[in-house]
Amino acid sequence: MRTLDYGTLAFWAFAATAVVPAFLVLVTRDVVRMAFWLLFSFAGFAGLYFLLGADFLALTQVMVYIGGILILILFGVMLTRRRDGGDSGIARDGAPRGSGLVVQGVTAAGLLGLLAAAVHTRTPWAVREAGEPAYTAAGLGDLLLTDFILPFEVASVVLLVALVGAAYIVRREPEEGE
Amino acid sequence: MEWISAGRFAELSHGFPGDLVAIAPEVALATAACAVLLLDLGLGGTRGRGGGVVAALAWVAAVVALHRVLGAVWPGAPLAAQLALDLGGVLVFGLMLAGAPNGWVGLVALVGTLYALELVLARSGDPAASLFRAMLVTDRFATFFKVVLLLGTAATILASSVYRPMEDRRVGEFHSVLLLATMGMFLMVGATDAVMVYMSIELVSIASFVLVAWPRGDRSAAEASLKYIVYSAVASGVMVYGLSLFYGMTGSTNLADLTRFTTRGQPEAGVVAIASFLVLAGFGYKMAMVPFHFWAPDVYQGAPTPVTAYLSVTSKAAGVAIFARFVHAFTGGPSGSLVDWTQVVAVLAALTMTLGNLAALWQGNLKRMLAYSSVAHVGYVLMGVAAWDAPQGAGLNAAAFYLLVYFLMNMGAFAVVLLVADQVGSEEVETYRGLGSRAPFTALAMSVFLIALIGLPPTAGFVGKFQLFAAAIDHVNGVGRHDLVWLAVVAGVNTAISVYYYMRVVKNMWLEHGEEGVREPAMGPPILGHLTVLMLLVPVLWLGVFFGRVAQAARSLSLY
Repeated sequence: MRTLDYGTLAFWAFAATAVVPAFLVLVTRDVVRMAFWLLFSFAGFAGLYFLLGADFLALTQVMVYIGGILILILFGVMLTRRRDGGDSGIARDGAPRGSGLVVQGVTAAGLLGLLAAAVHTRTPWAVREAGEPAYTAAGLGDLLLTDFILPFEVASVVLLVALVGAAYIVRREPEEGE
Repeated sequence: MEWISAGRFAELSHGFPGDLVAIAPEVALATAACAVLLLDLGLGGTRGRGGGVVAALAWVAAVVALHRVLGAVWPGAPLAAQLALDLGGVLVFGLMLAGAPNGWVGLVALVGTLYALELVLARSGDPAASLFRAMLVTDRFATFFKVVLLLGTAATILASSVYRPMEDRRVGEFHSVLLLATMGMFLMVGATDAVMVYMSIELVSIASFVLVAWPRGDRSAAEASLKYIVYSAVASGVMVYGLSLFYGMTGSTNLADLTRFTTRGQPEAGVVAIASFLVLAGFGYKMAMVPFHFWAPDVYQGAPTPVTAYLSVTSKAAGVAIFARFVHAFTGGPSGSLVDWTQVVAVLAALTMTLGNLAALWQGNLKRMLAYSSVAHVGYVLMGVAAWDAPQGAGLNAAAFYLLVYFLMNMGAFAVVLLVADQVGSEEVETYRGLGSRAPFTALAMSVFLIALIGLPPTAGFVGKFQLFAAAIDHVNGVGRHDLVWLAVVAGVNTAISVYYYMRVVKNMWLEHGEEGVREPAMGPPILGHLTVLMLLVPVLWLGVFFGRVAQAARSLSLY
């Protein structure tokens, strides 16, 4: 057991901030509450990134996820109306119900626990000594425009598809008379 | 602000111009997608002069593109063949234009597809190369899959042009998303870097969600799309977790580094196996492999029929390709594997085909039945992947050839479902009663497609399945034992099971009569729809007899 220094302490604090609210997101039923728990979870991850010396990633996490996506979720909740559901006629083969749900849940949790334990204790991680924290933005920029230029460009195509699709799906045309 | 010097720029961008030329087909698809989007935005909805000019230009361009594809496939084709193809193109493309006021939108998309096909075929002889700092490879294996993907896309564009529920919709967005999905699959079949794998799979996934949800206001399509999103998010998460484990162990996202790591002995066999399974689960999800198939029936039933046909063919092909590439990479070739991947894939194949076939037995909805049948067919294809280390790559070649054949027969079956649903308004197996007397051509075509799906001669389905069985039976493991014979036996039993549910449809069509008192309208004359079916029907029969050249092209599909 290593001695508990401030870095380790900060790690556990941020890790708890990331994981506990994430679990609460799962068990909460109200969307607005979920969004607020998500905020804490995102903030915890941002802290972890800071701790790992990934300053750019951490700031992006704060700006994009907390500042952008979360606000969008809240706006989405506010601006959408609730409509009555109905059955689409698609059959649901083998959807778990009742005791089946419990059995499957316990099995999944058990397998996940085993997996996490195995991964945590046995992985031969490729570790590197931590150096002085440095600004990472310049290096990231270089990498994105050299070694990773193709995925970087494809990301823009992914966004294009998402935008076109979203615009199509939400657009209301008068003759359809929704 | 510090500007980089010319020398530094040359160093940073080393090799990129050549790499750009090598991904010309992808660029062509993206360009066509943008062109369709912008043209439809500017001219859509009006039958004005602009639309007419673009339509005429697209008509000419499509015929020229078709002509050039023939030139790439068959250099020095006789003039009669060229003329026949040109005239066929003029007819089919003209029907697309005449069919709907915005038929030219689909035609522009088709031009892009054909042009990409020509580019792929023209470069098919090039030596395998690694592009963009080992993000992507072009090899013969990827090229063959790209041809299948483009043929599938072209058939989907044709099918959607006769799909009536699509007519009044904004078709520009539909076709551009379709082309970009195909581009994503192109990147999938060649990806050799974890980052590229993830980006390409996300591109394909997001485009697929949009396509499935296309009929706005249709509750079943919306539900199908939502289920697809949720399941897909989970599958992506699982896959990324596996990839991150590999990154944690190797410090690199590159597939070649990963191969070096997994084959250098036994670093930590357990964790490597866990990570491999997590990654393969993500790919298995894309091709609807058991136990990651549960989304397929719901999505395939709810999606508009052309989209169902598209996803069941192309998404599967891309999934199989990337799966095969990674299985190959995890083992670094025939020796030195930590897990007996042959038996693992074989067990997955056996499970997939058995569950798919058993579930298909009691489906009343034909689309849902074909969805389960497509799950079963993934099992057959995996039989070839399991035998991937056979001499001369016989297993992978058989899998690739079968996917081509599967495209033809499955796309054909869905095209018939589309036509019948258009006329009768139902996709239930019961509505096919007496179809033989009402619409003999459609019923005959459907019979051929279903017989091909069973795998009986004289269809291409038989040839494809025969090669898969041969690959499995011939497969010899490290100690000289034929270790996949049991899988061939399982596949044989499964084929026998599948006869029941395919033949039920055939029996309904020819031996039953429609219910008294209910007069379904006679099958009308959607000529383009029938032509589409015919264009799929002829190769199914042709490849059942004269399969030599195509099977030859599917040989020696070496991986980079």
